[in-house]
Amino acid sequence: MTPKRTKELEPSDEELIERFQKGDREAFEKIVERYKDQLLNFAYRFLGSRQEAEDVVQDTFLRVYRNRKAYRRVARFSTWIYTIAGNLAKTELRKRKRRKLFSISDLGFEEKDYEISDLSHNPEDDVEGTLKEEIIQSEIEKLPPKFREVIILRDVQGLSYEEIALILKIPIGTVKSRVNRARLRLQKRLKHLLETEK
Amino acid sequence: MNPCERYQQLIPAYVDGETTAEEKAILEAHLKHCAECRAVESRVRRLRRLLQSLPAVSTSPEFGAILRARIRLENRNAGHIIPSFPTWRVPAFGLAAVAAALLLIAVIWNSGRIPQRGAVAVTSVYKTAEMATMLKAPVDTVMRRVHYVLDRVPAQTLGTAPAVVASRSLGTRAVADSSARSARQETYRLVAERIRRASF
Repeated sequence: MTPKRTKELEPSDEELIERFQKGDREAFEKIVERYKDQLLNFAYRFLGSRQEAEDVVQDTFLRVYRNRKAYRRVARFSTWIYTIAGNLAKTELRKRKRRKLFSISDLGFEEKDYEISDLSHNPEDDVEGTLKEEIIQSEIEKLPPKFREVIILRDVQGLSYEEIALILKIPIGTVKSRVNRARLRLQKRLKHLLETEK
Repeated sequence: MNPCERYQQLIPAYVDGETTAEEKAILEAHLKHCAECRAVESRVRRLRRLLQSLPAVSTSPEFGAILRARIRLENRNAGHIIPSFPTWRVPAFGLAAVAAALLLIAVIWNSGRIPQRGAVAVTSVYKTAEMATMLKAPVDTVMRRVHYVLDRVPAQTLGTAPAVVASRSLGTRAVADSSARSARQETYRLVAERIRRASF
């Protein structure tokens, strides 16, 4: 009955979630540790706001916690968690639109997009790098959400077409064409930056 | 129609290593003698590098503590039905009051002193006018400051999420909403309502 342990390997995501399904809280903590930053990067690039992105990631883990029993090993855990995070990020975007619609100016306690990045910024960061990042980020945000999500998953997160297809529940062909179209748009918009990029 | 279009459509997948062996061979043979397609390939590669160069962000230091607090709260409230509250507007003075009150709450929290039940709200309402005058800032700026502090309140010190402590100290039931955002808004609402009714 001893677990097969030929090498001292880190448990897989699937092993962790199964342990968590059996009540092991520590396994959940490990999952959080493993995924919090990559999910934050995804949500941050998608939404453009650190605060909203953090809320999305918090909610993602809360969903994982709440719906742990719903996970079945037929799917990869990473696909499952990214699907949750992606859906929450899209919901956040819709909420933001709605908030804008019902003018927020006279509702002072309504959430606003404020940037906190300058407060946690390293003062030695070069201005040029920050400016470049801002330009790229703002062009990503101008993409329609369906292009935005594929390009972030592909080029920022480095996921395969197959994984993206599974996460977004769309055919691989659609992933390909969205990646192409998103890149063409970005190439046009970021022309000046691309010329200096070696 | 550009005869190269067919090849160029393959380029992004090629750069991503997502073409079939056959497609790859065909494209590579073409690239050898087509400068235009090579330029397209180079642009795709440069764009990819540019996107990959975006700096990574990390979660705030309180992330784990807040998450644990929310989970504890969720476990405690399992099975409860949370009524939804109608949205309502706070008059201009109310806004400044809420902002100042929250700022004060945040400051108290941040200093590490855990407030007694009810004490926060009472203190804050007494100090409201003083704070508002002292701050002399637009509500917007004040709110940002409040958010900034609230978002950084060490949840370990509190033992639970800030919004929850606020609602408890106001003598109302804990906010059991799943979203941190609505928890925060719920706090503003609770504080604002108490100020409006001035029933401390």
